[in-house]
Amino acid sequence: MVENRRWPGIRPARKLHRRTKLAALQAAVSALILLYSLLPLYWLLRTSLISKEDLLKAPPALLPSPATAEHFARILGLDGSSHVISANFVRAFWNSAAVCLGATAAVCAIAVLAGYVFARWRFPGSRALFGLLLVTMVLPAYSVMLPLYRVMTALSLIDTGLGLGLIYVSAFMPLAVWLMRSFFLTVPIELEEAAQMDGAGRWRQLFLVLPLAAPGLISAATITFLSCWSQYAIPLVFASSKAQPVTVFLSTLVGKTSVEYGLMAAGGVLSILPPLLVAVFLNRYLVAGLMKGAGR
Amino acid sequence: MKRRDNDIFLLWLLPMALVLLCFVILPLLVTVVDSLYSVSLLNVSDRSFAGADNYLTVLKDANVRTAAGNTLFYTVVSLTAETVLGIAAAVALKEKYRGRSVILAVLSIPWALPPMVNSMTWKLIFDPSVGILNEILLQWGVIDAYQVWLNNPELSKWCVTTVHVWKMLPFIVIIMLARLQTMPREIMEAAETDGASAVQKFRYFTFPYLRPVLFITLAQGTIGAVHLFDEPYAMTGTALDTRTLLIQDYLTAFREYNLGTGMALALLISVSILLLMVLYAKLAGRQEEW
Repeated sequence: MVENRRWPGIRPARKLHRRTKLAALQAAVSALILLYSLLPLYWLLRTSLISKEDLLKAPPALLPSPATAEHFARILGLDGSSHVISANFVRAFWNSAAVCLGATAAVCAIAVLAGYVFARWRFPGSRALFGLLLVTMVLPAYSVMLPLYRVMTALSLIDTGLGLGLIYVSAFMPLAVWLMRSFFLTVPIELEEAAQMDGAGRWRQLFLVLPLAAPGLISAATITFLSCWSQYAIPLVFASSKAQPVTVFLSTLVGKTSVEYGLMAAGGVLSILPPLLVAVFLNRYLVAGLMKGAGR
Repeated sequence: MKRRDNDIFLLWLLPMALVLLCFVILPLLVTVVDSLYSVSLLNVSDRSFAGADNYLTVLKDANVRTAAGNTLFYTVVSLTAETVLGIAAAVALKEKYRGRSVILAVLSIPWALPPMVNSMTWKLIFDPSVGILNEILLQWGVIDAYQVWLNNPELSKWCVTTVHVWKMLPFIVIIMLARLQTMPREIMEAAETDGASAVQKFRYFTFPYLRPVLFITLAQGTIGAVHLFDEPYAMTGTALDTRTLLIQDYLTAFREYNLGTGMALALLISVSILLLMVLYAKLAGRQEEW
C-alpha cells in the first residue's frame, strides 16, 4: 500500500477547497455504506427483540420497545418450552462450527503444502496441473454434485459431518492453494537456499518461510471459513437432517412455522455472529485475500 | 540429494491431487458418461443408453427455458448494478482517509454472511405484515398501496436480484479498489495541472485504468449470478417466476429423480459458464497468467 502523501508546508487555496469537497464526499459515501450494510441487519435484530404482539402492529415499530429476549430464550432452550426446536438449533450450530473449522484446517494444510510446491518447483505438467486446479474454481459445485451423491452414498457419508467437510475441502481448496502460492512467491528464495546450505531438509525450509507467508495463510483460512459457513445448497442435498448446518436448520424454520418471525430472526442473529466477528476482526486479511484472489 | 528433495514435493502435492481426483475429476467424468444414459436416482443400477436423449429433453423442457430466462435476467441486471455501483463506490473510496478501514470492514459484512440468512433478513423487510419496505415507500410516495413483493411475479425477480447484489457488490468494490489504489498519483496530478474536469479525469484516466479489472469483476459477477440458488430458493421456494437453472437442476435430479437429465443440464450449465469465461478472457485480451 502506498503511504498517504502529506501536502508539504503551505497549501494553495484551490487545493484546500478541493480537499474540503473530497472530505464531504468521503463522509457521504461512508454514511451510505454504513446504511447499506447495517440497516438490513438492524431490521433482523429489531425483529428478534420485539414481542409477538408488537410485531404485528401497523405501522411497524422502528424500535423494539419494550425489547424482549423471549425469542432468544426459546431458540436456545432457556425457557423450557420447545425442546425440539432449541435442541435442533444448538446441534445445527455446533455442526456448522465443527464442519467449518475442520474443513478450514484441512484446506489450510493442503494449501500450504501444494502452494509451496507450485511456488518453488517446476516439473513437467506442473503448469497443466495448476491450470486444471484453477478451472475447477470456475466449475460450479453442482456439476459434480450428482455423482458425488452416489460416491457419498456408497461410502455411507450422506448426512455426516465428515462427508460434508470433504465436499467443502474439494470446493474451497483451489482458491486457497492459489492464494498460498502467490504469497510464497513473494518470499525471497535466498532464505531457503541459505538454509539448504546449512543442511536443512525441505520440511525445515518450509517451516522457515511459513511465518513470512502467515498473512496469506490467515487470508486463506478466513475466506475458507466464511465460504463454508455460508453454504446452503450443498448441505441441503448432502446433510439435510442429523448433520444439518445452521443454514439448513433455519430454512426448516421458515417452512414449518411461517408466523414465528421472532424465532426466525433470533436464529438468524445467532447464526451470523461467527461470520460477522470473523469478517470484522480479521478484515485486513479478508480484504487482502479477496483483492489477491480476484486477480486469478 | 536433489532427487530425493523433489520426491518429497510429490508427496506434498498428494493430498491436493487426491481430493481433486476423487471429488472433482472422477465425478466429472461420471457426469459426462451418465448424461448419455437414462438413470434414475431411485435405482442407479437400472440404466439404459440414451445417447443425446437427455440433452434433447433438457432443451425441449419449457421449465428449463423459463429458468434459463430467469438466470439471464439475474445475470444482466446484477452485472449492470454491480458494475455501475461498484465503480462509483471504488472511485469514492480511492483516497485514504481517517476511518476508511472501518468503512471497508463494514462494507465487507454482507459478503461474509450466508446468502440463506441474508434472504431471511430481506424477507423480513419485504414482508407485507411485519416488513418495513412498504411503509418507507408509502411515506416517500413511491407506492400508493402496500405491495406483496415476493408473491408478485413482476416484483419477485427484482427482490431476489436485490438480495444477491447486496452480497456481491462489496466483493466487486474491493476488487476495483485494489486496482485503483495501484494507480500512479502522477497521472492524476498531471491531469489536474492541465485543468481536467472530474468527468474528463474519469473518462480519460480512471476508467481506462480500471478496464482490465472490469473483466475480472464481470467474470466474478457472472459466476455468482449463474450459481444463484440460495436466495430464490429461500425467498420464494421453487416458484417458476424466480426459479434459476440451478434450482431447476436440483428439482430434476432430486425431486423427479431423473439423474441422467439432471447431469445433462448440469453439464450444459458448466460448459456455458466455461465458454463465458473464455469469452471474457479473450475480451480482456490476456491469457491465463501464471
